[in-house]
Amino acid sequence: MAMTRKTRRLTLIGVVGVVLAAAMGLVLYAMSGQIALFKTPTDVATTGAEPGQRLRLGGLVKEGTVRRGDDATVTFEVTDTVNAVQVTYSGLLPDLFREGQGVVTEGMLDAAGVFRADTVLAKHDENYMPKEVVDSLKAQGVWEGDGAAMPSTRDPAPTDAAAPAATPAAEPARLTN
Amino acid sequence: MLVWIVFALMTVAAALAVIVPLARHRRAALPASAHDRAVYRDQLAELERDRERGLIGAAEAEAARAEIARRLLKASEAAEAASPRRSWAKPAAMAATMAIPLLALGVYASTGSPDLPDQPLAARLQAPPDPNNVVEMIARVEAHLVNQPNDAEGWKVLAPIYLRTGRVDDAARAYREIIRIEGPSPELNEALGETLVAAGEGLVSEEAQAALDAAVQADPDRIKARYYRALGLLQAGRNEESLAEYDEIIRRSAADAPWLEPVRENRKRALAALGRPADTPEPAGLPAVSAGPAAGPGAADVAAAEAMSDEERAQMVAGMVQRLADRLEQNPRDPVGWMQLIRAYGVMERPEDASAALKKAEETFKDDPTILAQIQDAAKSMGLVP
Amino acid sequence: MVAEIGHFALVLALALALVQSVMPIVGARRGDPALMAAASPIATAQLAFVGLSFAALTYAYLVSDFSVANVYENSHSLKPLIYKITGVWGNHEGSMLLWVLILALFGWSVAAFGQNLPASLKANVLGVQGWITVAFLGFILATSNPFARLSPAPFEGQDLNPILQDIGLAIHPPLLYLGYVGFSISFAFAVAALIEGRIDAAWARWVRPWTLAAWVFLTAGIAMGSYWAYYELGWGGWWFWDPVENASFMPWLAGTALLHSAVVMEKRNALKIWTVLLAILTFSLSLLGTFLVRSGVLTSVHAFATDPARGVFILAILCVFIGGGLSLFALRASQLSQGGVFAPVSREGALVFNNIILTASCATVLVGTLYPLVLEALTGEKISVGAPFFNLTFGPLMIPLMLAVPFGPYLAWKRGDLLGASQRLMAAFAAAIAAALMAWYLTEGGPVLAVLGIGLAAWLIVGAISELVSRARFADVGLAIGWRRLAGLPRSAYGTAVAHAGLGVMILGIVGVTSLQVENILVMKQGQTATIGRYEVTFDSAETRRGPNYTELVAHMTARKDGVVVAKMDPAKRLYTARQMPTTEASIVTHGVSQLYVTLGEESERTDQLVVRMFDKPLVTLIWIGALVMMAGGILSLSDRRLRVGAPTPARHTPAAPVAAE
Repeated sequence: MAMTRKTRRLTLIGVVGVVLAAAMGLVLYAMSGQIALFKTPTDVATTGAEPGQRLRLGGLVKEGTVRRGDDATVTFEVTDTVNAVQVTYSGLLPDLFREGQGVVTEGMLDAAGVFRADTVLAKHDENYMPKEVVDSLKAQGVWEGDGAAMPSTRDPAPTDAAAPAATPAAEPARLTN
Repeated sequence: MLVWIVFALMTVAAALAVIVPLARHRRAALPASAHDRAVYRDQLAELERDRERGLIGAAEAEAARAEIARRLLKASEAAEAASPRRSWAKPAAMAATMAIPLLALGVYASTGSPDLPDQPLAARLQAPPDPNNVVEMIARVEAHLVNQPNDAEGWKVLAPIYLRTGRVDDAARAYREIIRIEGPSPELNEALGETLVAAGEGLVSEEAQAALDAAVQADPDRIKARYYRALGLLQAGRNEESLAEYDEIIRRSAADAPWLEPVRENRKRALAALGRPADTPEPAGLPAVSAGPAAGPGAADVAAAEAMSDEERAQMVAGMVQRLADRLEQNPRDPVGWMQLIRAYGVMERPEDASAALKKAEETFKDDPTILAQIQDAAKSMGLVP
Repeated sequence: MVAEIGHFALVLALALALVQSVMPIVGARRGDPALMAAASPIATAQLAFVGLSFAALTYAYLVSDFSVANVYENSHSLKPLIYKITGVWGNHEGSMLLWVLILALFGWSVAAFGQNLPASLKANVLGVQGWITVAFLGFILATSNPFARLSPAPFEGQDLNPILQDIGLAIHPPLLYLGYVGFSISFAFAVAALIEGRIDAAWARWVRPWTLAAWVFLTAGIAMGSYWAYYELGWGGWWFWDPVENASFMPWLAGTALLHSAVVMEKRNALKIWTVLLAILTFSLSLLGTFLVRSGVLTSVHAFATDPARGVFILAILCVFIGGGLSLFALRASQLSQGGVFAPVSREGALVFNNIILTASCATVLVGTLYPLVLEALTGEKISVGAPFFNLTFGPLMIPLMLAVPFGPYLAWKRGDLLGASQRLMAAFAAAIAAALMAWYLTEGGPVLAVLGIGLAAWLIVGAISELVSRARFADVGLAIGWRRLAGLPRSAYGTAVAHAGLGVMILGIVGVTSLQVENILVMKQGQTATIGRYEVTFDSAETRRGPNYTELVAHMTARKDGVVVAKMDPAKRLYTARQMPTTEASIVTHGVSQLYVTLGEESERTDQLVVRMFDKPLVTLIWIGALVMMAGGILSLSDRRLRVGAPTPARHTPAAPVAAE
């Protein structure tokens, strides 16, 4: 009955080994199936993606493409200004979902090339632009820095109504000495 | 001066916190093994309590007791701490007395602003106002309106300033407040509608359309209201009505009115939307103002007001830009300021000034590539090639 | 002047921390009692100066002193008083100041309540605390000074992110920091022990109350944060496996393991090396959490700062403390003597099993959190590791642990009797089967996960209670004595049972809401009634309202259950005007332990027609009630007399050496 020190140690090592192997196995299995790759609309257009593979699609919500169905289904296009992908989503859009704003959607492409999203993310900060989207826009050479919005395609307001473009007096200098 | 006295007292207190305990005469500390023994005795007592209550079996208790006893014995045998050598209390106290003030002043000298007094908002609002500081004036009026929200005059002061400083939503709120207090008038409805269109970045919302409708209905000569109304109708796909509204504007305008240019432009779009030729004849307008006194007084007033406000705004913006430039002259290490200045010059179509500003900014930040890149990006976005 | 006094106090605190980080350790090395004894008063002064600094910043917020850049950037003169105060730590600089304030508070606690510690250990612990304080005060003053001034001062502030204007914010970060920073004490104890090269059962007893206190605070902070996200973000979820949540969860897992391994060390003088390593790792994970949140590596609701200089500074702190701690460990671990022996089936064995699983699951969370960051840094490929990954890895690892938990307390030290323990757990096993069958019946053959999960929860709860009952031995000694015995059980026994039962309660809530929740998203017209789970919800009307600093669209709804009005609900969509930021205000009705949760979708032009999202969330509140019960267990255990060992009295004053003063 009494175990030697050696068998005790072996038991301990055995248990540690089993648990670690189980953890590793789970991690590897989960990595193969549950991890979403980030792609831009251009990636999808050029290299394509297999229907059914989980993806994160990031870009800007293209102006004028948001359409709402009767049953809380929304369709819109995600663009990186070069290519665009049609997205459908059923559910509540996040607070900061707006046309022309950065967005990350997660889901998969269907056979028709429409992206069926189950998650739409637009973070809780008015200047937030998902990091992946910023990087990809920079890569496309269309990023304008500090939160500049996309050029508007709407009717331009007549000049006397346009908000003054520069409000320089607002930001006081920080003391640096 | 007072602040330095307080700092000195604080420094003394900090130094004393180190020196006093060092100066106090100290017995040698109890050896660590004494503390260990206290713990093991306590464990034994605890074991005894558990045993008395029958929480553990007798054999188990005996084994545990033997184990703790062994630890106790070992702790008792442990070598007592070597008797201390000469204490370093005195040199340590002297070093601390030197180090604390030197360190504190050294760090504070590079980070602090000892001459800057506190500026609680309440106290600042009681001080005499500075008429040149727009931001301050806004804050004062806002503070006043918190207590007297029904003072229409206050809102009337704020609304145009908000509009000029780019706070269009606040401007719209201010117009709504005035309408709430004084009741609607064509002027107010027109201003509200215009503000809302600006807030919507050119999109005419339902609320804006309603305000514009009311303005035009009460005063058919509100050309500006008509202009935005037509725009809204066009956006809503009510092309026929939009075209009618544009025609109405032309009918009510002098032939040389400055706004006819964009009106004709938009009218063409309405025509295009209706599928009619762009050169569909327009109705006859009023005679040109310069041609005679027949021009409608309403239209002339509008023109005058528009010219005034345009000029005023240009002056206002120029003044603000100048102040920014002056400030950067004195305190150039302000990347955000430089980017604002370059953009402002770009918007005002003063490319030479913009290039000069860019050059100065590049000079200032030549040792900081990140900021440099940001500033150059800003310049690029304004069409300035570095 | 107040602002500058606060600034100067912070600088003085840094100077004192430098003294504290050198003098006591030199003293302990030389056996110089004067130098060692100076540590306590310095730690006290430290708290006074950091406290003064924090008070000065709070004052600047209260009087809206916009000449302080931090106030200008994060406050607004019209903000309600309570949010002016909580706004102090609702931003990067202020929250770092709070971090250091709590660090100073813990340092002072060791100074004040550590009379029972050997002088050299106490000096070393406070010295190590001094290092941490120096690092973080240096970080604040160099990169995140909350007292930077503006001239000329603006007249209005930029307002606090509205999502942070909530009472949850007032409580969540301080609790979380009390947990994070509390583990710095365990770390300091571990490093001090390594410096001295002496570690034993007594050490475990000294370090345990601090670990327990930090664990209770961290549990509270995580639970609070989870509930806050649940009702404030309006997504209806209570845990998102967001990297920031993981950052607080990893130290919790490691800390829970530490708590259990310290028991083994205290009782049996075994697992010494492992316990010291865990103490170092737990605080390292706390630092890692701080780094992930503060450096801007992650973009999240929580990421205030995206300044590369700050990231580099914290990374340096991280490397120095984790690297230094582990190097010292590698250097000294071999000198620590081996402790008592035990059979694999024994209380020790069970606690080791607990440790293995907790560390393995902590490692999977770490992998899932860091893998995307590392991959992007190395290959530039961007991936996201989300909830499915963690559910698939973390979930299965927890199941054997949950099954094993009730066995632990039944097993004897050194060598346990698995068969005997199983027999005594028959009641709990029967209860688990009964609960599973009942769940199966009530949900009409509902999801397997729900049935098994409810059985598991019952196993944990009844197992914990039956352990107390069996210790009282009602069957052997009769009711009256049994009651006396039950009342006489040490509080730590109650603590264990209550904490384990709390785990069961939490699992019941998690299983209830994940497998039995009903969700419905639909477009509702005015007057329309929709059925959601056990409720019918009628959309009565909608209106636009104006708040102090926002406008909102409110829908008025009536919730009925079986035709009886249960509650009036007013979910809203708010727009905070200063930042033009929309937020979702969920309307939540609590009914027993279940909740009905309603939010509005994006505004449409017509107010008579709205997108509405509704959840019927059965048992959901048990998640947080379970956390509260676990905390209660921790507090009970903390109040046990055996954790308060008296200081030894010098022999010459009391010649008849007494048993430890109590």
